[in-house]
Amino acid sequence: MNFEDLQKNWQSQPVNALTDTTLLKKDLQSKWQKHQRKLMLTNIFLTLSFIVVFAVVGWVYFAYRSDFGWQFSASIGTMYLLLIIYLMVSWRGYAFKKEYLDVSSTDYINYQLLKLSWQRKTITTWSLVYAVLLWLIIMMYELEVTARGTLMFKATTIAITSAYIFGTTIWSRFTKQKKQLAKLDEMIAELNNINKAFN
Amino acid sequence: MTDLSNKQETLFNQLVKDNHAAIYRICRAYLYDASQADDLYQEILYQAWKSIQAFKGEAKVSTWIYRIAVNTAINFNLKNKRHQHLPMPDFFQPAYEETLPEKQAQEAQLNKLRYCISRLETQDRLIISLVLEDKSYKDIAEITGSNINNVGVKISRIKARLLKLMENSKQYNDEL
Repeated sequence: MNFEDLQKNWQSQPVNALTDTTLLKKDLQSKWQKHQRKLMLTNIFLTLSFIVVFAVVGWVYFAYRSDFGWQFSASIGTMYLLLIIYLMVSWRGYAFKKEYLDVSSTDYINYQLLKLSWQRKTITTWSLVYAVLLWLIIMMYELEVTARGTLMFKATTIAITSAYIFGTTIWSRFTKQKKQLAKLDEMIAELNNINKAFN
Repeated sequence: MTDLSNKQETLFNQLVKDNHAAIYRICRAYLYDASQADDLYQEILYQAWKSIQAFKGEAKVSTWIYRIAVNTAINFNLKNKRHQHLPMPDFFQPAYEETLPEKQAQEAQLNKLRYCISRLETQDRLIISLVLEDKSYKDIAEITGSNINNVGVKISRIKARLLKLMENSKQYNDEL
């Protein structure tokens, strides 16, 4: 047995693939249109949601700023900061959706590795940043509304809220995010293996 | 994007006509499971359809389509890893009785080859699929982005490994 015989046999195998381009194009067109429609609806939904949230938060600030102290303004400012960071992280993630498949495999793999490393960073770093900012927003709001309460009451509300926010963050880190990270690490390792073999 | 120009449409038609068999065989080399290979074939054509507008003719058409095929295969494998499995080799199953003996032998050999390819590492399956399509070292280096000096060494190693697997499976088959 030699390799040339195997090659000959391999090339003579029956090909059960759809080659009618009229039928193919119909399928491809419909798949493309569905993909575009989904993308467009997601974009519209995200843009509208952000506009609404920005507008509502702005309205709340201008309508009630005279009734509250500095904590209120700081809370609103932190909320805007959270929204802007979320928007930037989403945009960066969205930019990774644009893929070029007609480049060499090593270039393609390097791009995929960059994308996966960004997804990893979103889970490990940015989700923690969101949690801290959210905690700050709620803390400042609570300080404002419990201003007239006793020290014990203030401490209890802060403790309960903090325990809830950081508890769910830590719980998610060791359950859902752990699984996501394991999957990402597996993909990164596989791509690194392929890249190593190609170089 | 939904409306390709006549030139692009003609190019796509020609591309499918000239390369469908090679693309299909790459899918079969990369994925042992025939239904998954069919899905990958469809995905490659979809990606080619999407990318054809950006095709500027800087690379050879064949290099362009092979790059799309190989990169789509890499991505497909990552996304469908959970569903990957190695079923019982087909060559252990008897061929249909009504098939001619020569045809039976050829089919058995082909099934064995598919199974042995599936035992190779992911990256080796990709390279061997291009070698089986008679691609030159230069073409393989261009498609994968490898160093041309290393390609030859790698291919020799993969060929030797594949032939060894074929030999071992022959012995196993004879023992049955």
